[in-house]
Amino acid sequence: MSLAAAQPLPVGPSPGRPLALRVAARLVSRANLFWVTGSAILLVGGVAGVVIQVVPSLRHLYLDQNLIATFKPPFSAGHILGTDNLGRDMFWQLLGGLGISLSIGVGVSLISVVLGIVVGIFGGFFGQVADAVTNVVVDVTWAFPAILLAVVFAGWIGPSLTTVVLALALTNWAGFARIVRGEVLSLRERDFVNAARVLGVPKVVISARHFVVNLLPVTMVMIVYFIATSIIGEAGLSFLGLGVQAPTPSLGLILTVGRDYLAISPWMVVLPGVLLALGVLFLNALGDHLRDLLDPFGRIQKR
Amino acid sequence: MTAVAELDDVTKVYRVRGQGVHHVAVDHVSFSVEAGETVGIVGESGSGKTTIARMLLRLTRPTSGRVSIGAMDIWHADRQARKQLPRAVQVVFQDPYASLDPRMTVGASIAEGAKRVFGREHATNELGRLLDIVGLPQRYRDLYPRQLSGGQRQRVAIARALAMQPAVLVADEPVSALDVSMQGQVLNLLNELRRELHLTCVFISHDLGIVRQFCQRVLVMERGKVVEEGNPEEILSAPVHPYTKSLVDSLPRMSW
Amino acid sequence: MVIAGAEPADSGVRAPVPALEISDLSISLRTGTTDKPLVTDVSLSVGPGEIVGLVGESGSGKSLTALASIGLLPHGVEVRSGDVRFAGESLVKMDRKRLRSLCGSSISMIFQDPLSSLDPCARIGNQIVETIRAHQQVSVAEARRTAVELLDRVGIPRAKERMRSYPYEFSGGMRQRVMIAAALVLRPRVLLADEPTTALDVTTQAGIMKLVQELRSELQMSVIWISHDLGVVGRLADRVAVMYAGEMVELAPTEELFKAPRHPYTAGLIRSGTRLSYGQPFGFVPGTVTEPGHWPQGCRFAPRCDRASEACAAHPALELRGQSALRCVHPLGEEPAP
Repeated sequence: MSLAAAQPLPVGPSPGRPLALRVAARLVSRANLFWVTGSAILLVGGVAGVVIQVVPSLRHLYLDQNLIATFKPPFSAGHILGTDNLGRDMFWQLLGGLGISLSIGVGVSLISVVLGIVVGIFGGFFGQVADAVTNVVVDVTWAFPAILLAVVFAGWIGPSLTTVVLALALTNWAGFARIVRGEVLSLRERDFVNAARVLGVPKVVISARHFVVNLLPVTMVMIVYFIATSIIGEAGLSFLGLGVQAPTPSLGLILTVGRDYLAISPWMVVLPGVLLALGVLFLNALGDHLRDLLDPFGRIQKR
Repeated sequence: MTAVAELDDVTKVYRVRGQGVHHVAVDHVSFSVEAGETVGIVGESGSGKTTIARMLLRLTRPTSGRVSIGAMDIWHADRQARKQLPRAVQVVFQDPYASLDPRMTVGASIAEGAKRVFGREHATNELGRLLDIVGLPQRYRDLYPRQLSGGQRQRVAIARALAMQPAVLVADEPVSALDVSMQGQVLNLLNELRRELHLTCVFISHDLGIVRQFCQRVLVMERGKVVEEGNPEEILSAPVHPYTKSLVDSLPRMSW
Repeated sequence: MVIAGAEPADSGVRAPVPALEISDLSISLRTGTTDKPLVTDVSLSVGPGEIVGLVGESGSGKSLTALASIGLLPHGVEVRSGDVRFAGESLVKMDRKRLRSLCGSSISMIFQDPLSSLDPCARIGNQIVETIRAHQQVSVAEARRTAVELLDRVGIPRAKERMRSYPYEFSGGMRQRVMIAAALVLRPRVLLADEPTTALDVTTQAGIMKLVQELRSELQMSVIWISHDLGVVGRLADRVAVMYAGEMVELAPTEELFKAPRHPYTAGLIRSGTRLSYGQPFGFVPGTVTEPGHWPQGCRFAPRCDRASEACAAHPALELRGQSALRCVHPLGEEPAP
């Protein structure tokens, strides 16, 4: 069979590495040391905070009470950040609280992202009826205050870590679903999606194969934002007594207890507050930075 | 002879909600394509030719009328029957940069539909043969679309369509987005393939010159209606409808 | 209908010097420390009242050549060497202020997409009037009169009413006419047209081409018409310049170029665009265009040329012969390659 000669093209840039690796490479190579080290510190702190709660022999670090050494200020002997109202070391309490915050943050993010993607794709790609239904569900959820849901769960299963995760996740996902739906509405018009439909690929497979992969940049940015909002959310719910209960450390709990002792020592309020502010500030800025890298055309909107 | 593809009084109207404004993209069009025929649909933007292609491919629902592939009314058939469609009709789109998923290798794209119908093993074995047919080297199967030129991506799109062993190939402006010096390569390839594989071809283009060289029959469309139909040579030498006349008059001048 | 109004700069004298002269122009893209050439050694002069077609495919550098002439190169893309002279003055070396005063008044440019060169939020009448008053000391009323006349001349029906319209209210072809009006309102000596009809219907296209031809005669304006479509250029231009991979490979009067192309690429382009009767094989040029940065040292077309030989390993020079030019050591019409 004689065919028109097809001269092979000299092979261009290296075959695509996975998106995650490419982003990671860009983050490091662009001398974004600040972001990388900051994220590393946060990550290490969070993991350490989880470890000290999980490993039995380490629990004493944040649980040991010392009633003759209460309300010590930072830089006291043996306690770099002082102690709380029960003489527990503040550094380890805060670290533990950070671990809880990040764990909840990650948990809520993952649930929100999965729910958001599924619902967003369903509304955007599976017909007008599906879209109408999901829009109603999304709108109602979006408007629903997390605190109210937390109160309901707290009354039902009692306040705890689970309550916080459920309350936050079940309200959070709606914003992401909206974004995903918007993305899907434009993705589904692309010719490679049309080609897949003509090839007989079922819509569910198209969603998994083509949409999810192309949604990764948006997803990664939203996860970072969600962690930030979840940290605030958890702190707020624990502050109100609806969330994490003692002896599990929590930044919100420390804040709420410290409130009562403000006259004696401000540190129980100031330290967790500053840590919360710094953490959320950093995460939001990281999200912005990632968004600049991955989504220069601004399709993602922070809440 | 039963038509392999047929439009029967098909209309597509786009309505703007609440405003009462509507746009008639396709206006009571009927035509049929016999087995082995190559039919061209010529028109400019807004003529409705792309909408017709999308209706044949089951991507855009007609407002009224019947679209058939073989004996099946594709818009009213049940799910079981519709499963046959990917083996009956396939497509090559206009934009080689948009019609391949940038995150899939060439090999994965070509096999995407075939592996569902013929099984993964068969599809992988066929991959080599398909790359040969469209004139691409074997090592291209592991490359990504961005490493290929426009013409090569179109070859991949053709291979992907042929992997399904269709009876009908709908080519929607398959070379319009390519450089002129490379259009001929892809067109000659399509020509050869339709002869060897006895494909029925619906060729959509704005270029009457290409359609004349490629198609046995042509439909000229303007604003949703078929204004003239017939043999391209005859239409070119003696256009009847004023719109066809203006199309013929504006053909580029390449010889002196 | 001829436009009354302000006279062009040197009225009455039909200067023998070229209106626009591009000499040995090289443009490259600066990325970090590397310099990637995009256009190399392009030379072209356009006489007054002449239409020169600049033809090339992707990667040919044709648009960049025009953009360099008017100082509109994108960020990071710079002129490396060579010059573009307008009425004896160097445009490349000119300061921005002087260049801006020339833009629109002596040299003008129209683009493929009028929506991106017209302000979508301003009425077209205001945009044209603004252009006039930025370069000339006339009253608003007078400027409006000129604008209406021009809109009428380019074929906008009910021109006076349509002065108040916004760009989106026009169809594609009408918008293009508005853009032409805005570009020509100050009667420039040179018009650069970058694929102005590519996105239009063939019927509209014919109308725009006719309009430009008429205006060229009325205003004695030089036009560089850039296109990937040799057929369009064939209908319009007096001379055609063919570009490939950043350089000019052939320049000749239109009829001569089509009747007897000398460069194999030109012949290939003509072959690719020629339509034959049913069933005939389509003409094409084998291979693909090499990207900037991957150009071979020798002749850049050699990898795709069936006349290539060892002599093509040396980069061929551009030979000028009167109105024509050629960059090839084995041109058609001479001895076949060994």
